Amino acid sequence: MTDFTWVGTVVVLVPSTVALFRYEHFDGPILPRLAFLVWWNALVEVLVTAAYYSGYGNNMPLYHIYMAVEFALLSWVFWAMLPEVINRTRWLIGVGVFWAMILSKAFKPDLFLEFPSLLRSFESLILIGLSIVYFWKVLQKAEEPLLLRSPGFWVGAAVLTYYGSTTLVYAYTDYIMEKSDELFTAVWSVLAILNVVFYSMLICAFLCQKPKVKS
Amino acid sequence: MSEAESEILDLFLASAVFVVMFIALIIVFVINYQRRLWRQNNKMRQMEADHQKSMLESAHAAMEVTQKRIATDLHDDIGASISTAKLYLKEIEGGEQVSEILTKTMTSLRRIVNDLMPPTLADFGLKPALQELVQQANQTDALKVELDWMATQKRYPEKVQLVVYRVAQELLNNSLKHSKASFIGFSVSQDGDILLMGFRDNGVGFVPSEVEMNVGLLNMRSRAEAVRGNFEYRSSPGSGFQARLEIPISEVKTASHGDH
Repeated sequence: MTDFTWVGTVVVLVPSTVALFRYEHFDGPILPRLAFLVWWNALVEVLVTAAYYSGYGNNMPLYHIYMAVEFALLSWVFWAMLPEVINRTRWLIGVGVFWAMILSKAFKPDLFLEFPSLLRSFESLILIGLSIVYFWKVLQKAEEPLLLRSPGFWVGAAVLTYYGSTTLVYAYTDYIMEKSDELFTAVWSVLAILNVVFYSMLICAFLCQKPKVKS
Repeated sequence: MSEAESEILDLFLASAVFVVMFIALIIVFVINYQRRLWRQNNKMRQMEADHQKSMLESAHAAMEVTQKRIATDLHDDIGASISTAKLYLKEIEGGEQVSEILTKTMTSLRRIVNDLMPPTLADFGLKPALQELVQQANQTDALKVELDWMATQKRYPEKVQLVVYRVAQELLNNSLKHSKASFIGFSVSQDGDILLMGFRDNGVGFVPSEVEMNVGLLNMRSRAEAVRGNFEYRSSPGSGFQARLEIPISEVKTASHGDH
């Protein structure tokens, strides 16, 4: 692990801790759901690090599980942000389809040992689409005077920034992994920096406080 | 790392930086656009509120004009006719009974005219008009009505006087109708530019949330708002009713000048 990838791994612990301490102050459904997402990510990072140090070489099977749950949790967060677009049925169908795509790899189990570039790109495109829809809805309504105090805004911005900038990287990760370990580590360092940006924005979301209404 | 690999890495880095910057631009645009939209909507809401206020003011003004016209007609036409009829009745034998009925009718007519447009208010100002109002209510031993006048002036701009008088009238009527009070107190004072009228009774009181849509209370509030004033009240079962009217005098003057 390089210094960069270390930072990318450890950074998730910061929003996880913030979420833990602020959980009871969360207002509305977005932040509690987001808290479950970062806790899940933190758990996976801890497991991956433990696997790395215990000499377990290929963590790609765990990565598939991580991705499946991450997609379910992130779309659950978007359900809270876009209740007029996502409902229970649509969420279940979306998650079901995504999981089915992952499970279809069971026909060729070796694929679980490879980086799921295609699935990761597909996931990114859906999440980017949802973020764009969120910002489109924000543009249409003028009720939120303090947008920077809205957790939904920070989540949308974080997802759009992270998945928008990493889609290309994810799309070619399996190719890069095959090509060179050195290049893979370098590219993964870029992802680590974007991870820091992503989790910093999520920390902003967790620190959002409902504006006090002046009497 | 080979040159080709470095180029690939540079490509990824550049694309990531480009996407991040592009998204940052989009986000800045969304924030600015949304703020502008919010400001615009706020302005529209403000304009709508101002328009409603001016409509309300016009409605009150029209009502006052109509009341004044009816009062004048009643006083000048019907009042004069009754007085003439009474003169003729003196000459007719047995006309005393009819004359007595006409006297009672005349008293009722004066009361109606007074309610519609108190001549005392227009002729002598707010203090004498309120004193008259209090005096009229103080007819029985069962109820004591007091006016505590602490203001320095006797007269105020016409609009201010009218609003204070109408609110006082409404408060008194409400209290007489519903409160079963044995004491009603008015106080009028001036704090700088603000004319204050306080009201209290020792009646049965009520739960304010249960009478939020009461026409009388809404009417008093709208009258106060029409002159940029404020009307507040509080009550609870068993602890009577208290109200407070505040009117900024200079703003009413300015608005009146603006109207002309």
